[in-house]
Order: sequence, then structure tokens, then C-alpha cells
Amino acid sequence: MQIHSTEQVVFYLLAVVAVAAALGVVFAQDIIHSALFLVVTLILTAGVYVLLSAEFLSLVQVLVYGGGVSILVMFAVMITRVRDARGPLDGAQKPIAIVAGLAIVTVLVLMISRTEWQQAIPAVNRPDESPVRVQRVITQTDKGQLMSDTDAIGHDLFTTFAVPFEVASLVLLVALVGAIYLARGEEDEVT
Amino acid sequence: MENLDRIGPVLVMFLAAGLVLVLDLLPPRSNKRVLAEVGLVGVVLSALWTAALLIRETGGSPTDLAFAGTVIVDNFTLFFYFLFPAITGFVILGSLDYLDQMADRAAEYFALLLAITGGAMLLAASNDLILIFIALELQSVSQYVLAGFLRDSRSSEAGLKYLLLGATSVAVMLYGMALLYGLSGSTALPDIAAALRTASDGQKAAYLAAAGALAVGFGFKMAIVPFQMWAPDVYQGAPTPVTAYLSVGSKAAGFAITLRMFYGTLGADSIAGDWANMFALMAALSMTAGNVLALQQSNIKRLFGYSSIAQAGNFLVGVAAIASAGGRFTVSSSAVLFFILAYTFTNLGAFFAILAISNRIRSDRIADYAGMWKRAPLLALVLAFCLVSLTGLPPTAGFWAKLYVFNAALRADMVWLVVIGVINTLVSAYYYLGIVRSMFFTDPRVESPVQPTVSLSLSMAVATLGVLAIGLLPGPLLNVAERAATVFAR
Repeated sequence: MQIHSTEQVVFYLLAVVAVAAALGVVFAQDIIHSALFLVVTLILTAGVYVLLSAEFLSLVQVLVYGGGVSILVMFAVMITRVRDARGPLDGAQKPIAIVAGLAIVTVLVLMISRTEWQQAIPAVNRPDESPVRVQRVITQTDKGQLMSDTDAIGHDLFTTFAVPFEVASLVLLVALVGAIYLARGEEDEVT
Repeated sequence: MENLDRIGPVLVMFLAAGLVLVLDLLPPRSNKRVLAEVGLVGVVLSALWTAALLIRETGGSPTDLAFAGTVIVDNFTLFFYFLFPAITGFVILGSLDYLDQMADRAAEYFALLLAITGGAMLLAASNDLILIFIALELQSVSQYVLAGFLRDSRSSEAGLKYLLLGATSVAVMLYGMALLYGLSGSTALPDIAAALRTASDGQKAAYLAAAGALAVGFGFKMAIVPFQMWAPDVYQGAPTPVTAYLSVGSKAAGFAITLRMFYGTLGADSIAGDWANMFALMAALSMTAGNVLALQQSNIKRLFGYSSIAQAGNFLVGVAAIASAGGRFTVSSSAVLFFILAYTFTNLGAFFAILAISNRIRSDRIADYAGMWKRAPLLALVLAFCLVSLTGLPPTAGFWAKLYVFNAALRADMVWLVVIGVINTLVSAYYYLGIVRSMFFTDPRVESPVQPTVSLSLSMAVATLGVLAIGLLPGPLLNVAERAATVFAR
């Protein structure tokens, strides 16, 4: 394996640690440790997004997953498993799960490594022989101006993906109604 | 405005959902029937709008796109624009009886039901991976809540199981979508289809992996083996009208998007044969597992859970039955659509009868249905008729549905699948007709008569007449199904 650029060095650092932390999530015997490993994986993934020049995605990843979701996980652990939080996490299905997991990994690795992937977005400044396909994502508007990826996402959200964007708010509304309804308790507790 | 016009029927459902929530805040708060009526008005308006689209011929052509191509309104979409509100209308009528049991929760119930319907319609109209995902999630989230709506231990278990398994299957599906995006560089279905047609051999495996991952997510919605684990528990625990909706609406939505995705997008010859074999295998498994497990059930809602898995297997026979040459998707997709129609009427009719009976006798046990013929002759007749249709005997809708699906499979040279299907029909006859036998030929433990309410009788009558009408004159609806299926002709 030849290293061509600093970006690759950074990528392999991030990737190795992220995968190690992901394994930690699975193999940690303590659910709190699992949750912390998860945070590490999620934040390092944000680093990979930076390498891919997806700054906006990386920021969202840190805010939503590194911040919101991990705190939510911690709260859930704290509230639901106060007494037996330190118990072992393995179930009876462990051997089956290991076999199934390894099988899926093998299939995915074979499939991903053998497939000729398409270059999705016109990339500028990409080193030719780089295994990490570092892209400078620069999208052009109709008028020919260049946009950063944040601009491009905003542009797409309100033009091409207007319907999914609006319906996403409905999903949130429905989730909110459902959460309030289910958490409300019985009728007599409500005046 | 033209864009909005195309998704008008969906918007009506969403507006009705919002209106129901707002109306609940206004006095007088005692009258919950108003909420159901708002829902019904929404259903009718939505259907009228769809009819208007059809008459003005604005929707209906395969190239009728809206919102930068994310939404497509062809005949296939219009078919489901009619179907989903109709199902919801039925379910709302069936829920009126249930209203007494959920005193102050009616608003949430109807709002979620309407939101699901809008989501399902949007799913049928989506032409983009992102819209597919969002529409699917809108449905799923509402359905998780509705499954746990009773908040007793069984219902909560149903909701939680549905949520956990649903989230897992959606994650796998998203992985498949990510693969498709990586392969084609676009989330738009036509782009993906174009990329697949020109794909090199090196990409075939990845496309197949994506197809498999998508089948996990859609298969969960359709409740097919091996993604069926949730169905019996959720069917048993959820409120009965919700079970009725899940068994029909959610399943139809799953098949709508499966047809759109696999026939419309991943239908290129290079991989079609492979995923058709995958679906054929799943169909055989679903039919067999569903029917064999249904044999041992003593709870009628649970039995319908397994029966719906087996029926989904029958649908899947149609999905798998792509012809080897010439118009390979038209026969099979029209058979599937026709089956969906027939099954909708039949299963709704059966569920309304169950709803009417179990609301009165306060039990879901099949043993308590003994001698129902003496206690409620009409209800017993309706249920028996629908069970006969589910078995697939003439002169019912179910007979023609099975005939067309198996015919499509024969044309696709899948004789083994038809043999398995026929054997399974015999197995299913044992438990379907077992209920009929117990209702008609055993003595009731209690003699008290069972009376359905007016709204239930009305919806039951419509559903049963539908089953009978399709059974006697399948022609017109088959035409409708064939017209909707022309979308996949190439």
C-alpha cells in the first residue's frame, strides 16, 4: 500500500480508529463504554466527511450524532437501566450473530472491492491514483456560478427536493404527536 | 400550481390530518364523531381530486412528472391514489365503533391514520430515493404509534417490536439506497434505471446487493418471510381497526413501491432474472411458513397475522413471475395489482366482521366464534364469505386473484412455484374453513345475539358486495389493473 498524500495518512488514521471504536461498541462488556465508543466512531466519521470535502455533512454529523444522539443514548441508558446497567450484554444468539456478521462483512467487502464505482459528482483537483477519492465538490448553478457544498445542499433542498423536505417536517410532526401521546400516561393523570 | 395539482390528493389527506388535530382543541370537545367525519370528507375529496386528474388527463401519462422529477403521476400512481383513501375510508368507518373505547384519544388516532394514508399515496407517486425514504418513514412512524395505541402491555409490546424491527429493516434499505446512489450518481429513479442499462458486468453484483437490501426494507412492509417476525405480535396487540389497516394498506404500500422500484427501475434484463428468483424463493417461504404456522393459532387476530404473511406470499408469486420475453412485466404487475384489489376488499370485510363480533363478545379467541351462525347469522355469513375468498374458491374475488397470479407464474415458467402455491391453498383451506365450520356447525356456549353497529354494517356490506362483484364480474377491475400496469410495459 502506497501513501501518496497527507490526506491519505489522515484518512487511514481516522478509518482505523473509527473501525476499532465500532468494534469496541460491539465487544464492550459495559453498555456505557459501548455508548462512548459509539460517540468516537460517529465523530471520526465526521472527519472522513471533511476529507471528502463535505463540510456541511461533517458539521451536521458532529452536531446531530456527536451531540444530540449520543446524549440521547446516554439518557436512555441512565433512565432505563439504572440498576443492571453493568450486566453482560451478550445474548444466546451471539454465535449465530458472529457467523451472520462475518458472512455479511465478507460479501460486502468482496462486492465493494470488485465493483467499478461511478464518479458521482464532477470532481476537480482529485489526485489520479488516490484510493481515497478526495473531491472538491463544486456545483454550478444555472447561471454558471460556483457553489460550495453547503450552498449546493441548500439549493437542492429547496428546488429538487422540495417535497421530501416538506414531508420531513410532517414526519417530525407525526413523531411529536406520537411521542406526546405515548408518554402522556393515563387519562386521569391529565386534567 | 401544476406541481401542486399532481399531489393534490396527497395534500388533501395531510390537510385533513392537520384539521383533525386543530379541531380537537376547539370546543365542543365532547363530540368526537366530527373528527371521523372530517377524515371521511378528506377521503372523498381526495378521491374526487384523483378522479379530476384522471378526467382532465393531466395525470396518467408515464412522463407526467412534478417537482423536478421527484414525483411521478402515471396510471400506476393514480391506481394507488384511489386505493389508499378508499382503505382509509373503510377503516375510519370501522373505527367509529371503537371510538367509545378511546374517549379522548380520537384526534391523535384519526390524524395519524390520515397521515399514513398521505404517506402511502406519496410513496406510490415517488420517483426519487429520497422521497421514497421520507414517505416510507412517515408511514412507519405513524404505524409504530398506532400499533401501541392501546397502551396496555400487549399493545405496547406490539408498538415496540414494530419500531425496533422496522428501524433495523429501514437501515438495511438505506444501505441499499446508498449503494444505488454510489453506482449511478443520482437518486432519481429514471437515472438509476439508465445507469443500470449501461452498467458494466463489474457492477452487476453491487446492483444485486442493493436490490437485496431494498427487498429487506420493502419486505418488512409487505410482511414476507424472512422479514415477517413482527406481524403476528403486532396484529394481535394493535387495535383491531389498525390491524385491518396494516394488513391491507401497509402491505399494498409495500407492494406499490416494490413494483415501482424493481419493475420500473431495476428491471433491466441483466439482473431481473436474479431478483425474480429471490422473490420466488421468498414467496414460497412466505406461503409455506404463513400457512403452516396459522394452523396452530387460537387467536383470530394472530391467525390473520399469519394468514396475511401467506397472502403476501401469493402477491410475491406475481412479483416474481416476470415473463422471459416480450412485455415481461405487464402480465405479472396487472396480476399483482388485481390481487391487491381483491385482497383489500376481502380482508377488510373479514376484519369488519371480526371487529363487530369481538367488540361484542370481548374476545379474540377462535373458540368463542363457535356457533356464531345462531348468534349473528349475517356476520357469520359475511365472515364465512370472506374466508372463502381468502382461500381462493369461486365465486369470489380471491379465486380470480389467485388464478391470475398463478397464470402469470405459469407464463414465466415457474411451475414449481405454482405447485407450492396450490398445495398451500389446500393447507390454508383447512384453517380458513375450520373457522367457518366452527361458526356454522357447532353450538354456541352463550346464546346472546351479536349486533353490529350501522357504520360497521355499511362498510361490511360494501366490502362483501365488492368481493362478490369482483368474483362474478372480474373484467372491469382487471381492466383497471391492466391499465395501471401499462406503466411497466417496455
